[in-house]
Amino acid sequence: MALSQPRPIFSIHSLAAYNRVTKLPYGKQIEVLAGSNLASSQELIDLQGGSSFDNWATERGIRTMELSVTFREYPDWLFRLLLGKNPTVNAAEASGNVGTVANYNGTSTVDATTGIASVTAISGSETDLKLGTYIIKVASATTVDIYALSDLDFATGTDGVFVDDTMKITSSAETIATGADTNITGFGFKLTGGSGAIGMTIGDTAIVEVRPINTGSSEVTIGSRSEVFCNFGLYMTGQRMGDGRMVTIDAFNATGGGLPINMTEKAWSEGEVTFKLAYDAVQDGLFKYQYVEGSSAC
Amino acid sequence: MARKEKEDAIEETVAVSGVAKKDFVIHHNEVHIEIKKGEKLPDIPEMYKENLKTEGVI
Repeated sequence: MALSQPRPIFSIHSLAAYNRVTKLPYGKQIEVLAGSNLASSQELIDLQGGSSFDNWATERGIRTMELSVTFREYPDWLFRLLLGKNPTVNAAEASGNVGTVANYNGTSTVDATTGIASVTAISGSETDLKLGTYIIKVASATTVDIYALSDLDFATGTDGVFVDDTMKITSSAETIATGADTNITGFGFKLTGGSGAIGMTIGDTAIVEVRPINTGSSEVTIGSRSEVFCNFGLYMTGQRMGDGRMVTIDAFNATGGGLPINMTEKAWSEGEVTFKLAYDAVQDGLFKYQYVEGSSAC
Repeated sequence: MARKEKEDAIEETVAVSGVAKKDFVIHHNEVHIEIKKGEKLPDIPEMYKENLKTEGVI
C-alpha cells in the first residue's frame, strides 16, 4: 500500500464568532482576513540539583492556547465582543438624517422659545445633506455661525466649502428669527427659530449630526459605563483546497479585548487581535480541529 | 422659508425711524441687509424688528 497524501493547511477562508449558549453567529463571518496563528505553548519544568549536569526529570507546566487573527474588515459584532458595546444599526435613509440638535456649551442655543427650536432637513434639498458634525455657535443675541469638523463629504450634492481657517461654513452670521426657517444653503438643513423673541448668549454652542442619503449605517460610543463583555466561540476555516480538503477549528470559549483601527496613507486598516482560549465544560475541551480529506474529483 | 412666505415678509417692510445705534447685518436666506451705525435705518421686514431691538440696533 502506498503512502497516503500529506495533510497540509492552506491559507484562511473565514472567521465567525458565535454565542456560547445558542451557538448562533453574532453576525456575518469575516472574510477579508490577512492571517491567523493558533499558538499553543507549554512550560516545561526541569528537576535539577546536586552535581548533575543534566536534568533529573522534566514535567509539563502551564499550557497557553492563543488564537491571533489579522483582519481587514470591521463587522459590528467585533465592537460588541472586543470593545463591549453593541453598535446601533440604522436602516437605509432615503432622505438622509438630521439628528436632534442639542446644546453643547451653555443652554441658550437650543431653546423652543428664545433660541433655535429645531434643526431639520430642507424638504427637496436632502441630496445636499453631507456627513458631518456641525457646531452652531451663537455670534450675537439673534445670529449664529456654523462650523463643520471635516470636509470629507462636502462634494455630495451642492459643493460645500469652508469660508475660512476657523472651519466655518457660513459666510455671514445667520439670523434666527421668531418662528422662521433659516436655510443653510448647500448643506441641506435649516434652523427654525423659537416661538418668542430670540435672545441667545454669545459664545454658547450646540451640535447636530447629519448623515447624507445612505443605504445603512451603524454607530457606537466606546468607553461608556454600560459596556458588557462576554466570552464567545470562534469558528475558523482554512481555504478549501483544490482536491476538496478542508480544515476547521472551533474554539469553544474565547476571550478577547481591544480592536485596533488604523488609518494609514493609502492602506487598508488592519487589525490584529489575540484571543485566549479557555476550557469549556460543556464541550469538555478548548477547541475542535477537523480535517476533511477531499475526493479529488470535481 | 417658502418663497410665498418670504415675499409676504418682504412686503411687510416697516419704516424704522432714527439712526442705527450699531453695525448689524441681517443675513437670512435670500435677505441680506447691512446696517451701519449712525446711518438712517432702511426699511426692513417686520419679522426682523424684534431682532433689531434685541441686538440694540434700534
